[in-house]
Amino acid sequence: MKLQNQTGWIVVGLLLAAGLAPWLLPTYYLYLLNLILINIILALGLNVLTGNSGQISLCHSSFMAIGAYTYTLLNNQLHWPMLLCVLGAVSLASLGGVLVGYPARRLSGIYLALATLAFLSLTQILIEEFPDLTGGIRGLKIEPSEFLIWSMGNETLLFYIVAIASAFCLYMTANMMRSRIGRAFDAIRTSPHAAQALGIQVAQVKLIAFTISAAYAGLAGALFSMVVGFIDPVEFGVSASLRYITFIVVGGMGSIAGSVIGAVVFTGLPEALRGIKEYGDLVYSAILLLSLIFMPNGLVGLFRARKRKSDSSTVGH
Amino acid sequence: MQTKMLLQTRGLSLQFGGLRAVDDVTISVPRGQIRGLIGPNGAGKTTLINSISGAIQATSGEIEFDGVNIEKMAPYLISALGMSRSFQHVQIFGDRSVRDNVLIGMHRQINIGLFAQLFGTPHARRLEAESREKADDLLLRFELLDDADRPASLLPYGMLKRLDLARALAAKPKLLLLDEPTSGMSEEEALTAIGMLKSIVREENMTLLVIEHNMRVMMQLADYISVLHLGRVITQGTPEQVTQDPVAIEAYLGEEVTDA
Amino acid sequence: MTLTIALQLLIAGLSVGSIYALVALALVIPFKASSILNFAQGELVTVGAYAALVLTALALPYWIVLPVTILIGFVVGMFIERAMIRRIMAAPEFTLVIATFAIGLIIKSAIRLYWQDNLFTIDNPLPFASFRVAGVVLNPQYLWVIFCTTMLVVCLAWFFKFNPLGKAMRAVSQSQEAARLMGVSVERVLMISWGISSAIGALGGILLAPIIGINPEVGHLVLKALVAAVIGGFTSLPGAVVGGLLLGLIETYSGAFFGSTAKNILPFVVLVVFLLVRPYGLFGRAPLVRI
Repeated sequence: MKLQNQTGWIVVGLLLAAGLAPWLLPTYYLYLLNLILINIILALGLNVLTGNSGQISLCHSSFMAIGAYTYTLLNNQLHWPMLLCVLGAVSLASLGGVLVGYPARRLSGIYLALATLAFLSLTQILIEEFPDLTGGIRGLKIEPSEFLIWSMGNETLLFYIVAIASAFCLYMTANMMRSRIGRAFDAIRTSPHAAQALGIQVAQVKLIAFTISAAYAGLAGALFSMVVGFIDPVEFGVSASLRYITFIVVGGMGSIAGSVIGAVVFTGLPEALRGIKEYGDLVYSAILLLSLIFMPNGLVGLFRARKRKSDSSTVGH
Repeated sequence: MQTKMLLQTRGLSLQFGGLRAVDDVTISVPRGQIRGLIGPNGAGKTTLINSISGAIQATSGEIEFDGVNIEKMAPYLISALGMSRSFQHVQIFGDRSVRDNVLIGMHRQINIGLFAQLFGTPHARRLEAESREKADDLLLRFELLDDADRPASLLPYGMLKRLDLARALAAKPKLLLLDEPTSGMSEEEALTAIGMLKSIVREENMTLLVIEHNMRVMMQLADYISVLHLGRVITQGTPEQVTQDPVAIEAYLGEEVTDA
Repeated sequence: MTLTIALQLLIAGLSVGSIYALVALALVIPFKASSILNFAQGELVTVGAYAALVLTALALPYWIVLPVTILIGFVVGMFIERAMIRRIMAAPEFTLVIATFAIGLIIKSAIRLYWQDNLFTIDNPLPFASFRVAGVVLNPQYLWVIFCTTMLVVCLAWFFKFNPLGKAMRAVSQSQEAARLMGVSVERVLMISWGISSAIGALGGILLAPIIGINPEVGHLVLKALVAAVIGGFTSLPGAVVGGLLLGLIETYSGAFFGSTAKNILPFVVLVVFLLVRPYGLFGRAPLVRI
């Protein structure tokens, strides 16, 4: 019960902070906060697939790309209202998730990694080979539009949209982990045989995991287009996928707190390294490698282990 | 008049290259019976269980479960028909709490739509709460309730085996397959666990197929026993009959029968 | 399509296929020994290319640059195994896959840091220009690549069949335990197999350098090599060669017939098809699994 109160206060605090943020923070920090929230959505989605369900995926950035380009094209070419563009982005990205998840049900390990790598390569090639549609390697600018009475360039509006979206994703993820599907995710990772024997249809759960994580990534892609205003294929390659994997490996796989921590740390980090921007990829990959070797359970795992040691009460009788 | 068997295998065989792990096994298990499966190491008992549960596919023969042919069925479909099992080498979901493990066992019983789960609808919450209560009842009977919220990986081995049992029972299966449920337990733990198991099984009129090396446990538990040796069923009978059967005794000669 | 053009494409296809075969071999060798797929293999090709660049800039002749580049690759590979891979040998598959990706990215970004994205090149080792034979234009570069790869395959075949170290590597890839019991130092063998595979990668780098140039993205071809390895089967060395050559030919011919988009997409379509239908490739074998 004490924990519930604690969580309640945290949520209230966050809501307050979110409400005040556009008025308290200068533009640059608001923009950074938007990026952090978008990365949280990406990390949550990836954690569902990899952290909880145990599926190796190198194409998370591709699902994000599908979301980003769909949003942008629906906005620029068809001038759809913002919400429909977002819906289109999420739907198409989810479709991408099904496209990968369906054949993936019989694959695992390096073969699954390769399949997702193939999907990544194919989406990159498709983006680059149809520059009339996607802007190719030059990229695509998001045309200005309105939402109700406000311009989509309004930074307060943008922040609220991103904040509500990420709050929603956090809420959904928490619900999932407390329910049957969340338990099924963990079950198929820990022991697919036991899961099958208890009636869990492993293939179907894998497919659901892929679809949901792709939906999150698609949403993040749409939001990214809105916030940044410009997208190009470099943003959605293998190193981007590795970056999102870094979020969850360092933060803590399979844990919501891990997703949040990872996203916050690694969105803030490039900004802290402002003067030495070229070091970006090098620092990421080095931290990722060190984490994999020395801290496989992430920061959350480290924290939990320390907490367990200090508890040190014996279990059972 | 022929009573319909809950589980019926006919000429079931499993061949791995040159080895016949299960050789022409025909057994009939009527509803409500506790059938024991014994035999020296390597007799094919676990392989038999694996083929009945669908984990491996048989090379030839038939398996009929509650009137349905299941030799070619996927494990999760077989489970949906009302079969559940425990594992020789404990396959607990260690990251999840003790209670969650039992809830996973109830996976088939909890029918909440995916969107309801995602959005946390009142209906979903209510069903979830009901399931938790049922899980807690089961945990109470297996003396695991005090540790319900702890990660399962922290439990000592004996309790893990109890959890494995509870989880397999959570689905209220028609047929429960148990692979050495008391291995690694002390004599006292084993008899207690089996007592808990037997009372639930009788209450729900479940059918049981149990592999056990501990003869004392087997005597207390089983109504009828099939003896396997080198993949074949060499004799069957009540526990008293089997322990006095010269064929069974000869199969165990030179093999150490775990007596405690 | 005339015969001349067909033959021309054949040479081009075999040449690019040789590179794929070479890098595929570099992928399969450590996989057979340690069951680890080195996704950083592409970057080891890049290392070879830049090593050749540096050595050439030191005004060393090609016949010195070539072996030294290979040696550098060998040392780098051994270092990677000893310092990094050794620590995570027992880790779950996810860790192994991502770790090798991370290593690759570290190498690539380090290279990019120093040399930026500039495109460099080194001179053709064979100082004569393309010539014609029976109407078919033969580029000596391509022929050199095919020749070197063939020599490599021959050397490897000899190595694994007759050389004691090669035989030890074969033993380790069949069973580490059994090899250890027979007195083989499994750790040393693993380190050397990674060294050999990186050396092969480096060879690929220096062979490619005069043809496609030197820049940090050279390693991108590892994706194609992965496809080749899947086609051949990860547990088969001859499979890697066949897979590479086949892929090179498929790519080249489809590019001529269907255009560049098809040429770029086809390898990955082939990959997906194989993963779904025949994941262990044409010559690979499924691993034994115990339930």
